[in-house]
Amino acid sequence: MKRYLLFLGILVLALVIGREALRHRAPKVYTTTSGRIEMCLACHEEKPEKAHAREVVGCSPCHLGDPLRIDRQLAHRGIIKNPADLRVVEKTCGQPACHPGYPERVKKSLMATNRGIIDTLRRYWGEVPAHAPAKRPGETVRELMLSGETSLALDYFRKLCGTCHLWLEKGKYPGFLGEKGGGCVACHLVPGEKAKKHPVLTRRIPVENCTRCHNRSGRIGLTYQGLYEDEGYGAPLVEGEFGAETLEDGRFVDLIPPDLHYKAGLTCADCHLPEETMGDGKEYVHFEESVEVTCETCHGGQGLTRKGRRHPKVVEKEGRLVLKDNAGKEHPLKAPDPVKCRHEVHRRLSCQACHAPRVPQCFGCHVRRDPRETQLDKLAGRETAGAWEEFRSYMRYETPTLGVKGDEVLIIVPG
Amino acid sequence: MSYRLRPWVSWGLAASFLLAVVSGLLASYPFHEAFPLISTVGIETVLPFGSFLRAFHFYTGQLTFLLLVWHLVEALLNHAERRRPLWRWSLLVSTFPLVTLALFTGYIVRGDQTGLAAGQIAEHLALRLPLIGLVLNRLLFAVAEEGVHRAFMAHIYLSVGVLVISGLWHFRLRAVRLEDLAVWATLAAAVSLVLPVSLEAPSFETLIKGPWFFLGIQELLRHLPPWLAGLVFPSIPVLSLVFFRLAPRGLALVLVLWTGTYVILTALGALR
Amino acid sequence: MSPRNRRSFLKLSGLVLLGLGGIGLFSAVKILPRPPRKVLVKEKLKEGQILVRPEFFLRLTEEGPLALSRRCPHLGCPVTYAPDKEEFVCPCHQSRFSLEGRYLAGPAKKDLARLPVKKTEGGLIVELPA
Repeated sequence: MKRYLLFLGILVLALVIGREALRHRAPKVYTTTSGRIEMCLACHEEKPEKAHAREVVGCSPCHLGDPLRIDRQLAHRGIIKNPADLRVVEKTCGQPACHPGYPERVKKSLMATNRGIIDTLRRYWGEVPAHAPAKRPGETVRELMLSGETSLALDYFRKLCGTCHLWLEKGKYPGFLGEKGGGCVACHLVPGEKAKKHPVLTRRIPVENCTRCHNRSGRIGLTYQGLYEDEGYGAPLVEGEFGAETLEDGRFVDLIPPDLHYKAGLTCADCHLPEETMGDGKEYVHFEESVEVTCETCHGGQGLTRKGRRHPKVVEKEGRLVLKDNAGKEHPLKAPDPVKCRHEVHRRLSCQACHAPRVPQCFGCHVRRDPRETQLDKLAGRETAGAWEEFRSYMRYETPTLGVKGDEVLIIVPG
Repeated sequence: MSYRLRPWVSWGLAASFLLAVVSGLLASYPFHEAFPLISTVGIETVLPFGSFLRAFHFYTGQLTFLLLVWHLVEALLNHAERRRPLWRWSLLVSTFPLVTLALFTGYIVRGDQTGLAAGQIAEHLALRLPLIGLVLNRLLFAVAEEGVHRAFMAHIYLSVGVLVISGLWHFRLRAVRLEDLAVWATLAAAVSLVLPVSLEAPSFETLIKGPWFFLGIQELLRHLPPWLAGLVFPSIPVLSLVFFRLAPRGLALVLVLWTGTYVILTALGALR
Repeated sequence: MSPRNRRSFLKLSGLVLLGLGGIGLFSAVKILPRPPRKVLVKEKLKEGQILVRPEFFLRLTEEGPLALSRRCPHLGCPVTYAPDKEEFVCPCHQSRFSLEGRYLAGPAKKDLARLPVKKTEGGLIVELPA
């Protein structure tokens, strides 16, 4: 008995020494500028941008894990690759010491719920009676992800619309689909320098971050940049190859005069307020209820949105109002023409009625579902029965039709 | 029916205690009480064999506590209270709360989230004791004013003090054998290799759990006022032990019921 | 020395030592006084923003800046901020307080202590107790 115990003792001692020899220890205890211990810095060399500098924030407030450990397995317990994912954001970006309040707002915003798309689809396809209330329980992206509820319209949504929302895990699907989603990061992340090994968070959100998703339907993201998704099928052919420019998803585009605001250097985030993009705390169903900036906010208005909110970027300079964009540049705001815009006979015209001379219009929308095939349900993450395909008759870049809505004369386009 | 104490429990207790005190004295060298968490993390991640030393000290300490409880139960079954005058019996029984206190101050000394919160709670409870509260707090805790300094001193003095005083009696019977030390050291070392010792970084959690042996009191503190849950309730087993000879069967029942209640409270606290 | 004298000598020595021990204990128990600590907060607080520091929360109200001690009035644990519930919650025994520091639920039974705040050109100065 004693011999066995002695042998065991020597074995344990050998294991202790052996483990220590193989262990990778840190040279010192790493701390951030506030004195908080951050042992992640002992092994990781990633450098984010100044606002979240590694010496000040460290790694664990965002990526969680255990900042007091050096052993890889223990240190990475609970680690999160994308801290901005809406499933964990209250513990990371939205934690009490950093950006509290934003997760709740964003989760109620349309980019997270997609209530409008779902409501309109179900209503037009007759799944919901016309007089039903717009806000119905269970009809948001997150609830559909959890409930698995489906119907014809919801199946269509899941398979063809299900990647353009904030609940999508970044990188989940291959190709351009993997660039979408990711919670806060869907808008606020831009690639960093290769040497820094870490992407960069920014408030100067580039247009690409928006047009990753906002490039269908009315093609606003494309038109703003001076791109038009045409019917050229890649024409002109150059030495047997397609000569036209393509989008990330392979669609061919033609170059058209870009929006004046794009030419002036304004991005989507320069005009659209945080209360529009990140929600104002209320859960809207349709984007007309959420969008509040209007042309008048800058041009002729007092810098107020249609909801009476002060636009954060419209500031007074030497008695005049200017727009100070995200890059810091100041843009003088042109007042509306007193006759063309403000004359009594033009009172009912919306700005777009005259100022949008041509608008992409998509005619002959067709949708087909083949029950024999399967297709990836992008909310559930697995293939289910029924494959959808969209067709159109043709796209035209034409003068839009004018129509009357309420008291206003607006442009009306199909598709 | 005379119950015989198991020697391996008793000597295991002595051996573990000795190992805990020695490993603790070794660990106190790299430890700086002015910045406790940085020291602890430094021992854990920078010091060669530091992580092992810390785990060894922790597990020998836990073994001491567990074996002491077992030893105490065996002593009661053996009716040891009959064969000693009250003052001596009280002294022996006092090792239980004192070792618990030594174990507890070890948690405070870590300086992590669990430790600091535990220190605050202990300080507030101590201050509620009439007459002796202030002095007791100044000797044991005083965390708010002096960080872990006094808890660290209490940790050392209590462990060394109880070892010396109980050792004076116990080791006069028979010295601790080298085999006992080696066996229990091997056991503790084996556990240290496999199970890491907890260390909680400060966070915004809305629920933190204290040391495992105080989970029951933590749960009770949620429902009853502090003087009842934190002072009267833990005094019940101590007083029952001290005056055990006055009514052995009755007080044994009290102890069993109290332990049962405590186990249930611990389960409730742990499952939150 | 006769046994009687020796006994009284030892008794006296014992008393003297006890006295010395008492003096020693008195010294050991004393805590060296420290001045109250002041923390300078330089950040410009936005409306509705709650600044979280290790020892206090700071926010702006109509009556001016409000600094709430993070020490739970129950047993002293550092209270944390739960933005999803818009409350302060104590992680030890789950006492809850409103964003004004008023007691809502749990074993604490008292409000969060308010700390004095002074406005200076450099920012806000919060005074912590000694």
